[in-house]
Amino acid sequence: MAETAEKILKKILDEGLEIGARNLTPERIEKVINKVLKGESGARLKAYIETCIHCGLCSEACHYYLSHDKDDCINGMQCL
Amino acid sequence: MDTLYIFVSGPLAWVAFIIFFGGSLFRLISLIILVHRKEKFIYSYMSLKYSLRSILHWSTPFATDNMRKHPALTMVAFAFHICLLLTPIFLLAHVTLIDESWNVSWWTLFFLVRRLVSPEVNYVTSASDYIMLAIIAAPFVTGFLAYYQWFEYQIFMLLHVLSGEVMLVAIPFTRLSHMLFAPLTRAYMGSEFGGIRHAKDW
Repeated sequence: MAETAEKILKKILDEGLEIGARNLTPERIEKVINKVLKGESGARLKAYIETCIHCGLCSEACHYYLSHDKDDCINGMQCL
Repeated sequence: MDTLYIFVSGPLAWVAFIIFFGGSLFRLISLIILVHRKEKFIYSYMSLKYSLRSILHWSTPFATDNMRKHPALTMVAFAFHICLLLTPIFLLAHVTLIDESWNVSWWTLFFLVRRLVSPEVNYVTSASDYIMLAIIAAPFVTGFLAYYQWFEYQIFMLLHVLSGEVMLVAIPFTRLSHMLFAPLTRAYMGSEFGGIRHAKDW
């Protein structure tokens, strides 16, 4: 009772995401991003991607990063 | 050596500035054209009040949540950008320098270390990021060395002018263009969050 509660940190896994992430290749990511840029998106996404300075602060908003206990980065980051 | 210096400080300087101003104008106009073609609704979103509100908050040290969560990065980033802007402008106006010049090259070291050491930053880092840091640091390092004449002055003056021109030309066509676009993207974010979503974006 007097023992301190130990925070059990565990990785929260999502099967769909894990399997999907394994299939990602840089070429595939590049192809999709370009398709989106040319197709449905516009000036905003282009401006954001082009001015991205790779500071890495977005990791703290990434659900994958957070649910993996800040230990792992999804390959999708390679879109940068 | 003299002819080289005359070349880089004369015609090449003209070329560099023309590319910088012309290129920047081209990038800005291209962005506006893209907005016009694909995201016209942005015109109706933009609001001066919310744009300024957001820009002011993100231009003030520790005015946003994210800045408070990363105090060291915040302080260095602000110092870096202030020195970056002040040094060329005030050096162009007067060739006199303050004795202790806390110039950009020192702050750049912090960014370099951060990029090497921090795991999530390292993950998104590629060669282009280190090249970018080198392009920024080069004018300041060479200028520092030229001013204090630690090594062959003429060579370093040449390198200084050349590296300054490289940086100028790089600005419109690389990520350094955030210099041009940041006020616009920040204004848009402020307008969308403030005017449309009625929320803060800081």
